[in-house]
Amino acid sequence: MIRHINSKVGLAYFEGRLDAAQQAKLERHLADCPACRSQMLEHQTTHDLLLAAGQDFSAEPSRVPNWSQVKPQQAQRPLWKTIFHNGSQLAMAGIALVLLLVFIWQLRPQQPILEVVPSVTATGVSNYEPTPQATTLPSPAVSIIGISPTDAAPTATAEPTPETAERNTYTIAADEISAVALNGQGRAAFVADGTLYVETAAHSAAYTAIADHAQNRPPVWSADGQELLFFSEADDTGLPVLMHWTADTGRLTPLSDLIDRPLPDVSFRNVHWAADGREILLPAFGQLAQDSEWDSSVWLADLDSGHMSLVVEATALKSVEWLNSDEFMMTVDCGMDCTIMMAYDRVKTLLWKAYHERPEFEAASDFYVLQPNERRILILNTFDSPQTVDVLNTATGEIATVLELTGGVEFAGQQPYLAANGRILVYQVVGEAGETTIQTFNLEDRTTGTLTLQHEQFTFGGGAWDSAGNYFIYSVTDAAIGAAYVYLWQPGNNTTKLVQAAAGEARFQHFTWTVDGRYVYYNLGYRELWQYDVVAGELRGVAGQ
Amino acid sequence: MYSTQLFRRAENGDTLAQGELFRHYYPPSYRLAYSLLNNQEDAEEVAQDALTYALMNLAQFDSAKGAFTSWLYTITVSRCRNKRRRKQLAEIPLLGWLVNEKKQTAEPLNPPEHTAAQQEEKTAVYAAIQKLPEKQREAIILRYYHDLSYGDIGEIVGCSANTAQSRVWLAQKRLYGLLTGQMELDTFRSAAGHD
Repeated sequence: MIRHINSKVGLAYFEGRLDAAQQAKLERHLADCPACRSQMLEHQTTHDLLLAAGQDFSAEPSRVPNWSQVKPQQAQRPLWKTIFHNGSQLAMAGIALVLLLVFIWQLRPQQPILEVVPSVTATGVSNYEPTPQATTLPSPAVSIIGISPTDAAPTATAEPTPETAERNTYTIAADEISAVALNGQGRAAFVADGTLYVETAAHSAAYTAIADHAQNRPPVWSADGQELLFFSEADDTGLPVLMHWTADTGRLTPLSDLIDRPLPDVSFRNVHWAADGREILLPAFGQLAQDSEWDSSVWLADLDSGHMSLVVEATALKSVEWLNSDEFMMTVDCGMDCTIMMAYDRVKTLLWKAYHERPEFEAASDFYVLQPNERRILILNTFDSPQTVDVLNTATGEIATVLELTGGVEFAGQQPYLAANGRILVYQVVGEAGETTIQTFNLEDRTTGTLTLQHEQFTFGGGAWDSAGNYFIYSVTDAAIGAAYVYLWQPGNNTTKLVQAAAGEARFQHFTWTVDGRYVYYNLGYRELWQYDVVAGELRGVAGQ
Repeated sequence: MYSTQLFRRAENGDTLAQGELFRHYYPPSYRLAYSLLNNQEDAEEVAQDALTYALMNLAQFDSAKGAFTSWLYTITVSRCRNKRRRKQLAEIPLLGWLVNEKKQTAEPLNPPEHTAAQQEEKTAVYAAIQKLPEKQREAIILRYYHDLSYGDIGEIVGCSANTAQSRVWLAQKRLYGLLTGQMELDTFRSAAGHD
């Protein structure tokens, strides 16, 4: 007897990827299960129609443009033309530039450009030592945690790292595992093979499966850590349903049963709990009315009162994020090279609006929320040369440049990572010869450093700071070795430790710290979920195969 | 597949190498953009823009992560998303789309053995694809019209191979509902060879 047919088996069946034994087993199941038989007939019918129709819809270009005509248009386009579309804008910008220069000149003698206020969580960094200058930075001492040093030493000539011993000791056996969500106490929740698992108590390593027979998506904890919201693809429409789960009763309820109005017929994609309560922000995609000029909207639901209301409609909504308990920020895409950000309060008042041109693809020149309660927004500015990291103070509208890249390097790949105490920024740069470096910048003493690794070439896979700014955990993949690595950098004594290594193409990702900074969870690709105890130096395989 | 040396020359600013790569990779980028945008001008703009960006930023291309085509497709898909959002493309009359398409291709799209009914069915399939949610539409188009593996699809649209499979599966189910809403069920099944 096999389980009901899922996408993996179903597609493999009519794409001819099952072996004879698997095929016979599935066909026996189909003979006994009218529901699966009916479903497979639908899929097979559509599959055959798509195959039959496919060939007719492949269009060839009528001509291939000449590169010599294309390239100069891109390369020689004056910067000012990209920014300013007409003369009056240019004149205004000139005036603004003069005023800005005067403003900066007035500021200069008084204090550094950026005023960084350490947050109240910074008690753990009292023994903080400044990061050395790049030129004097010693190679970090690399010690290895959880695996044999001889197996996993990250040198360019090493053989691919063998599987670690822990690989076979997962608490939950699963093929595909989501990132983890942690509540304030450190209780973990995640999705493995479509099933939602919730830890029975923080750090208990025992999990309860929430069996709703649906394909679920990663959950999000409420501020008090007692409720979860997650999307579930249980129904036949293909549209996910937003589900609500409470820890005390274990009850699972569709959000539509908890609010005072029918959910609009649009696609909700993620959930943002307010930091201080049971309100949720819901970005939605799709027109609310057929003739609407907007294609997206933001909704606010209060799970105590059950009241849900529309906050704002938008076009090309990109992201929504709480800035503090009363305000949230949304970004919208205003074109190929343009992002606009706007902040609203709970009574739908537009608080401020800002935009930034960006000529690059995806990660370049984008906004990252920095110290939300201080109302600062980090801007990665790859539009100007040299590139800069700027900070926008949303209370005053001032933009201050805190870091200017020199030496011909540019930002690359991952977003910059700022410690929660606002002291150190970690970012990736690429040099003129294509070499990658992970650099650090201390915003207090304005010194830069480099995270030295014993890899000739590597790809930075991102990372995460713990809440006190004591540790930065990050991933690196080394194509020459064919392995992925997790490193832990401790800025206090400037040491780097190798936490884990794994052979293969998958990278370590989705680093999530417990609030107390003792444990950090992360995935290897989508196949494994690990927990690392920073104090004990122990690794635990939470889920994997 | 082009040699590493050619890519290196292009990265170092060799216009001839860049031109050769542009000529080779423009058609696949255009085909993908066209199937996602359903508009010739938009597809031309996106293909040119995506490929120009790729060639001018070859230093960011990591061959260890996958083929250049996958990276180019990732850029193309993202630009298509932006383009769709910006323009909020109105529904394009499919008959007009087919007529335009016939003008562009050397081979007749509607060979004599194709009956009007078959053409109508194919038109309905493509119309239904346009009604799918964005991620499902991308997955179906990359799978059926560009013959990519689920691993490649995942890499291009930014999800796992399993999620890509799940999107194709959900899209098939939704398409069935959309198509049975447009055609008589018997005709539909007959067209697919399930009498």
